[in-house]
Amino acid sequence: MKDGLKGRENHVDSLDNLMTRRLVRRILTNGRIPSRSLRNHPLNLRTHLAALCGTLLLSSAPALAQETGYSRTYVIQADGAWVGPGIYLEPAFIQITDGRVVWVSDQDRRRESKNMLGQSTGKTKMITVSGILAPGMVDAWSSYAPADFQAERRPSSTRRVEDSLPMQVAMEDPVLYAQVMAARSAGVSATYMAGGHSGLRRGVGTAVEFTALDLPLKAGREALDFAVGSAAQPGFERTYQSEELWSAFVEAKVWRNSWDDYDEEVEKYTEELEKYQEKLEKYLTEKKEWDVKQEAKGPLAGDGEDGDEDKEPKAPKRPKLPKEPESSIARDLLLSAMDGAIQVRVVADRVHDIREVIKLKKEFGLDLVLLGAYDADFLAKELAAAEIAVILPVVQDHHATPDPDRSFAKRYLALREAHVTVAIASGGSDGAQFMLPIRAGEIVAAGGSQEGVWASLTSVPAKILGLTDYGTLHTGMSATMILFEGASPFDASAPFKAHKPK
Amino acid sequence: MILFSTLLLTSLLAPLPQQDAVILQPDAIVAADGSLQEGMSVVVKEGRIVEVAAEPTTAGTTVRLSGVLAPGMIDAFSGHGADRLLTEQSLKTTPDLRAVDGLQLSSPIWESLMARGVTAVHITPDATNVVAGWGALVSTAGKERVIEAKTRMIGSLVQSAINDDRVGPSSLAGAVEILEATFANAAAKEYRNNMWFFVESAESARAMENLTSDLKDSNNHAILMGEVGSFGGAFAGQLVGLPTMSYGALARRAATWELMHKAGVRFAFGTRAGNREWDSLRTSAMALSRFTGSATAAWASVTSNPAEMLGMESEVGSLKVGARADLVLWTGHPLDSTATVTAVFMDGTTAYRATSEEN
Repeated sequence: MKDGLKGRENHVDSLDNLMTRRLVRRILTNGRIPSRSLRNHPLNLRTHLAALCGTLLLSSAPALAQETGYSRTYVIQADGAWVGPGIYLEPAFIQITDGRVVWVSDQDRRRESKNMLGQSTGKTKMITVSGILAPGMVDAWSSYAPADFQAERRPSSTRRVEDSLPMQVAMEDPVLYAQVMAARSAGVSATYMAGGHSGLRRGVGTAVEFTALDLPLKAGREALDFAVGSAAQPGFERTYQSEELWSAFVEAKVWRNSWDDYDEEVEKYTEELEKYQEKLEKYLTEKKEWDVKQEAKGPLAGDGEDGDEDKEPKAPKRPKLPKEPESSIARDLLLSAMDGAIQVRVVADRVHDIREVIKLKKEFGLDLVLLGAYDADFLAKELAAAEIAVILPVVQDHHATPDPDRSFAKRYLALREAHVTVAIASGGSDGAQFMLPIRAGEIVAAGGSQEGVWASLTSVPAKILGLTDYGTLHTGMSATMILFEGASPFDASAPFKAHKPK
Repeated sequence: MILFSTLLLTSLLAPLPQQDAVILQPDAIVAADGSLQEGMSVVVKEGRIVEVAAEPTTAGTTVRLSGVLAPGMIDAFSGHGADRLLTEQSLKTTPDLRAVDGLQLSSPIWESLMARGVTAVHITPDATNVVAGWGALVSTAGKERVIEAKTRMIGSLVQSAINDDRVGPSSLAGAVEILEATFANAAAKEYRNNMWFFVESAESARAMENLTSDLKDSNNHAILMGEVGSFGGAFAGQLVGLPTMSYGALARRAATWELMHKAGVRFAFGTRAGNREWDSLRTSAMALSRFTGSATAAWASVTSNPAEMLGMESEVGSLKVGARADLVLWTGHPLDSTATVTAVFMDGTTAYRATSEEN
């Protein structure tokens, strides 16, 4: 009984840790991003100290194994493995410890382990499966968002998905739980949860991995989510939102250029605040005295002789609180983006909007990713030159009248031919994770290289999302894998399973 | 005599005398259970399959094919290649309307369908009338394009059709009333036991059950529309029509299909009211395979199941001896998304071949 509970205790412990750390972070940042752009300001010293404490707390946190709750050690023997681009093993042996790949080889590299007394405790347990192992897919664009985030009545451009992630998913957020389960069974090992699904500014989304209890957990990087223009729908050629986004960045830049003024304002404010403090103390003393006098006079005192009215001392006035210099989290976020501290993700489909996005990246030096990108094939060369990665959704064609000359596969190939980095994602469609390998296979059928297309589902999106532990099966990487028995993961005629580490 | 696949396409055309059997030797065939079988030959004579064996006894010209040979897919209910509207809205019921009269055989869509491995399309009238009219099974190529001009009578118990402003019943009860009155006619004997009903709720499913349960030898089938998850359970163990996958709420769809598959429901995919993409038949089968883990059920859903629902399993949808030799040569398993159609054979000739630029 006790043994059976051991793993669970372990996990509760990790959940507790998780909650404490998240709570601390939430209090410390309290809706404010400790912005690099403001680091020179005396006002922000406190924020920075807080952030520093937060970082220290985070770095002293237990290793990933405990966070994700995977705790076993075992070896899987399979017919083969797609370890990473160019590395294919047949057969394959993979040792997994705490949800990570310890070694991967075409030979059984298990050694006899020994206990403290030097006695042999046998070899690590081996599970034999039929099929080929490959890294789980990384879905760089999902429609998932925590219920807490969606419940917001007025979507804010500064809200962070991370702050809304549930602590316990099955009970707290059953919809998200079902979505995570569906994604996992479709072979997705990590994904991106966007900040909001409508409007120009969508807030701050985050890449997530999944724990042993299917809890989405922040991993990789956060990004600012935007959407401009209309979907690739006939009749809605363009809107002016892309210009709006442009002006927001311009405004932020102008503001930054006027920092000296802001410094003065802050200094003045600090002085005024000190003066206010003095005035307030003085006021409080006066008020107390006045109150005592009034009381001594009795309730009818004021109604006494009419002639004395002018001599009556007036009640002291409460001093005014000085006005704080204006600050804006939304603007700070844009400034962080200009510093390259946070990635920018923009959904744009039409040529006009994509041009604006390219302009935005060039002008402000953003780390920018283009999503949707229905018309991106027309601007493939420009996108390549601007080094903008593209995330193509697999279920986009339903927006437009299907154009056989510009099918999903053909648009992907046109982008790749121009050397644009392309990831394939489920996009805004719930449950489309099942379609990832099927639509990707269409690209192979249309002449794309199997390896390149598979990379667009694994290592490429992992890199875009900053998920350094996902996308291949090399040592140290996540052991959330898929197992396929067909010719490739794109073959739907044979079994395809997701492997969740133990 | 063995010719190689490069020669095949021309060799199957005119030069061969009509009476000669052709022994097709592909790398593999797709068996009825959806699995690949290597080393099998399919012998075709006069547009029919005459033998399927490892070492055929029929004499004929042997043609080596590189790839996987499979029966062509069947669209169980479709509006492709016909008038945009196949309905008559001034009448309450239109039992004499025939989809075959609205065919557009010159449409370029037929070739597109072949390029996607579809060899037969069951064209059905719009399900806007309670009794909408006769469906027609049409081949995507060949000399005789209409395989069956009167297949099944299409009926509708779909609320959206009932409630629209056009002529028709105003409620489900009204629809049942009209159907009962229609079935009482002697003319209805021809079709009332062989109808396909579009249903979209537990109520309409029950109405269909009540209407047909007192009929002897009823062989009616339902086509499930709308929120299938809420009433699909009523069809446990049955063969039903299902619109091809449209996107959105795929996670729920996956769960629904998996549960229905477990309850013994067998599907026949059709594109009417489904996704209009031309290859959605195959995409839906691939998705079904992924959702249920059964390639057998998935392959049947686009071949033998629609044939069985039409009562034409000896004619189309399989590699059975005596069936039409509507064959598709693929570069891999048809449910492997990387596979493409190399050629389509019908009427003993090459009806379609992929141009090299497409690959």
